[in-house]
Amino acid sequence: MSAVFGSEDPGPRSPTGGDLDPGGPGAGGSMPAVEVRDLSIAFGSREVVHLEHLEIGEGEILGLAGESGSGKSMTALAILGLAPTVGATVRGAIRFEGRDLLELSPRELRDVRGRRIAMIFQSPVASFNPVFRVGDLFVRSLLLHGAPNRREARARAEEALRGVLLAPDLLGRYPHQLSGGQAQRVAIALALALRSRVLLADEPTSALDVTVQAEILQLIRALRDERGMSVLFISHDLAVVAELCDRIAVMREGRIVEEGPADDVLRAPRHEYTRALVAAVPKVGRVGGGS
Amino acid sequence: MIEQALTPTPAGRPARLAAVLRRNPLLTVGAALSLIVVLAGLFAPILAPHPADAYVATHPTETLLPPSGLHPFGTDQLGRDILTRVLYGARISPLIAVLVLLIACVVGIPLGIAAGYFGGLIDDVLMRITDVFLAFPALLLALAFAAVLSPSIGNTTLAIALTWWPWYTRLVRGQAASVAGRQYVEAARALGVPHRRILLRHVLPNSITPLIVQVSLDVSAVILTASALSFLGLGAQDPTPDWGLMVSQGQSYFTTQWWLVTFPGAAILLTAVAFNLLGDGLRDVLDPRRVPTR
Amino acid sequence: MSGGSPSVSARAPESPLLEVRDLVVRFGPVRAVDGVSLALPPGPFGLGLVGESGSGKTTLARAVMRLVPASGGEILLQGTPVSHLRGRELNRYRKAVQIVFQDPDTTLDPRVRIGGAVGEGLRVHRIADRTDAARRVMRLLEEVGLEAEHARRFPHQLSGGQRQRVAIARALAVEPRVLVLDEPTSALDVTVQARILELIRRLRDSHALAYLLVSHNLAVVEELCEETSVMYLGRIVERGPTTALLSAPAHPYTVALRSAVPEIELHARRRRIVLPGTPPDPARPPAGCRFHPRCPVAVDLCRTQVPPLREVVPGRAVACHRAEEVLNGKIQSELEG
Repeated sequence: MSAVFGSEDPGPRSPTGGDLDPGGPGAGGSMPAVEVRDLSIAFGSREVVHLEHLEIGEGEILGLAGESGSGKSMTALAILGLAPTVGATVRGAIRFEGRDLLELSPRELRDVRGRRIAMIFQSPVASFNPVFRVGDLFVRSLLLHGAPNRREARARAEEALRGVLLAPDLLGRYPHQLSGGQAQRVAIALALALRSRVLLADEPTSALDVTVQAEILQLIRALRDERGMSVLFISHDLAVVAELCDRIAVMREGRIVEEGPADDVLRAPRHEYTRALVAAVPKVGRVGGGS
Repeated sequence: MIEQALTPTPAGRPARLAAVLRRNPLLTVGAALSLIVVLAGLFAPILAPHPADAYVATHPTETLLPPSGLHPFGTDQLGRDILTRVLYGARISPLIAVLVLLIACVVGIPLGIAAGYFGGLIDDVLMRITDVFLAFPALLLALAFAAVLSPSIGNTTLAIALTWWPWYTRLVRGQAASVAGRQYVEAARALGVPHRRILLRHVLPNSITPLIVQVSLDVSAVILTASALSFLGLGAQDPTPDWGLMVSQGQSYFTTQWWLVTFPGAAILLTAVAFNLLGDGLRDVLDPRRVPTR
Repeated sequence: MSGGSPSVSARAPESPLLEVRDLVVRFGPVRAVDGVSLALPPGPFGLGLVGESGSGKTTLARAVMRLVPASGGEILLQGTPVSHLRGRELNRYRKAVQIVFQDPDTTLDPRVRIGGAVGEGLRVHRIADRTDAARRVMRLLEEVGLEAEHARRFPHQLSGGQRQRVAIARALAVEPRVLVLDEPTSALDVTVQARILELIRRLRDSHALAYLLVSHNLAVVEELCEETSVMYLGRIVERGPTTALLSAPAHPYTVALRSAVPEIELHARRRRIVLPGTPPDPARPPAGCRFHPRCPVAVDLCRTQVPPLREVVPGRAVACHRAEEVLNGKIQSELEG
């Protein structure tokens, strides 16, 4: 396989062009994939997230950066409709495909969640049911979300695995037999097989080795480039966000303190907190460097 | 201790105890109920309306009387006052339970901790020994021990304790093995802290919580096991006012004279609940995460 | 940050403070550490040990602490072998060499207050009596950037970063000469990590510390270590002054590792080298060079002959048959696929 990043020159950041313009992705002609307005997430009387506006453009990779406890993960859970399951109350509006996710019935929400919007986590192995083989996980999810029969589901699963550069024989393994990188690929493949439009990625590479992290980042980018998937990429590591994202929103204590095109935010951060985050990123080869 | 030296003004012990009790209603109720049982046993000679009925006296003309002003809990098949016997029973059944559990802990905890922490050969040998004990039903094993020893309360206690400790060893061993792999135990080893101190200060406190809960649940089980032994003629013998013995002897009258079983049964229940709450409360008190930040 | 090359030349005449010679650690059939040698000069000095999961770097750190037994080779402190030490002598060794672990969640006993945790070493090694110990604990806490009142708290009342500071204070309490830092910041947020690294740098100067820093993060190693060794599947594949090693890696694995680091600055970004396949099963390492199944520039020789760790440039040792070609850029395009 060839390195996707290898051919990239550090200029324009929207290789597929078309639906996103570098000046203000999402702000242009097309509708955003997900639009969050006046989102308030609270535990009892304590408000942990308050977002006036946040949108993920169609085919855009939006980075949500901030430290642990800043409310990044809670925001993703709210978009997925899962925040109430951890005891939070959610108010506001989350627009997706012309509907407000917060007003859907549990049943409609189940259809959106996992199928139209998929989520991957820091430790994917923990999010798989350990007693099922990978293939069964796929088949069950696909049958639940509209595959006509097992054979069709199986075929789609194999295709999806090939799509993330894994051998289809992985379907016969149990989750604990996968390496961290493989498990994350399988999680992404599941989103592919379900033809999800939006991928919420919560620190998907934080537990991985750097070389594996590079592969996963490359894979997520390819998903966007080749399939037009919209991605919300959550990370505490600005360097990772910088590698991958078109636009960055920096979150602190439940609020977005700065938002803009990735290069602008990183090159000339306006908010003091963003500057601190940028400064905290350890850099390699500042002395020698240069290829 | 260093951390105590660092505490600027440690509150006096009574004041601290009061604060702990206030924060912890479970513990308070459990302690109160336990206190009732202990006081009942302690002051039985004063409280009991017919102290002689606790042992040798029988009243053939007053058998199986229902509860009344004279006999608030009624009388049994030999005409003895049940209230008196229940009060005196508080000197026996809870004592057996406490002794059995104490012995089981004293034997079971050190072995379990050692097996879990050291692992290897020590673990293998200790676990095979407990396997032998656990292979037989506890009651059967207690029966066997009791049969070898002569029937008496002391021997009942010993017989039950002999069957009880392997469970605790198992339980503690599993916890200790998991604690032994945590980084703070490794850090202690790396600091050169002696094994004995690591075991007492780090492994024991972090392995003991499930055992405390189990012990508090076991109080009623021990009392009932003791009564089963009595019933089979291997434990406390009539006229000893043992609650378990009273329940088992009263069983045949239950449909017609309910009070024979009900009052000693209620006493067992009260004791079990008391220790249960005490156990739960103790678990909370020992967990630093439940101490509010000052 | 002091550069690598001067310290290397300065190091040469000195005898190492801590030395590891041909160390082997076996877990059943797996040789987790397979003949590794390291030398840590007296402090202030940082020696980095870089590798990915399964490389054996953490096992090596634990073996140095004598927390896991070595099945071969030798560990020497100031020229004295320590592998056979027991009882009081082992304790003396452990007083001289201390470790800080990775996971801030389990590095402290949840039932022991911070003051007790930091003071434990003082007590065990009878370094201080009670009042003196309390005073020292305060000083240590201040030194690692905490406050005296933290001593009364329990671990769960502290943040992850604060707990790592306590772990550092606990290690420093017995005044060790060598510190082993096993991924001390990899479970922390980047901003917290930056502050902990700053602390380590400060302590290194004030205590003249010599440390072995185990990390998967090249940037962390570069900030804190004069010299670095790269491990792959239980062996060292490259060693040299950190700056030189990172700016011009000579082993294809180091090249790939270096290229995988995400960069915040656009101009610093370089071509990614994505390694094919996954690391092989350490129980059945491949013949020849252990890296050859994933190496983009492997040749026939690599499949049969184990490359020795040899000095390619003065001060730099590489275990690769094609190290010179990698170094002088002759096979750059081949490397990048």
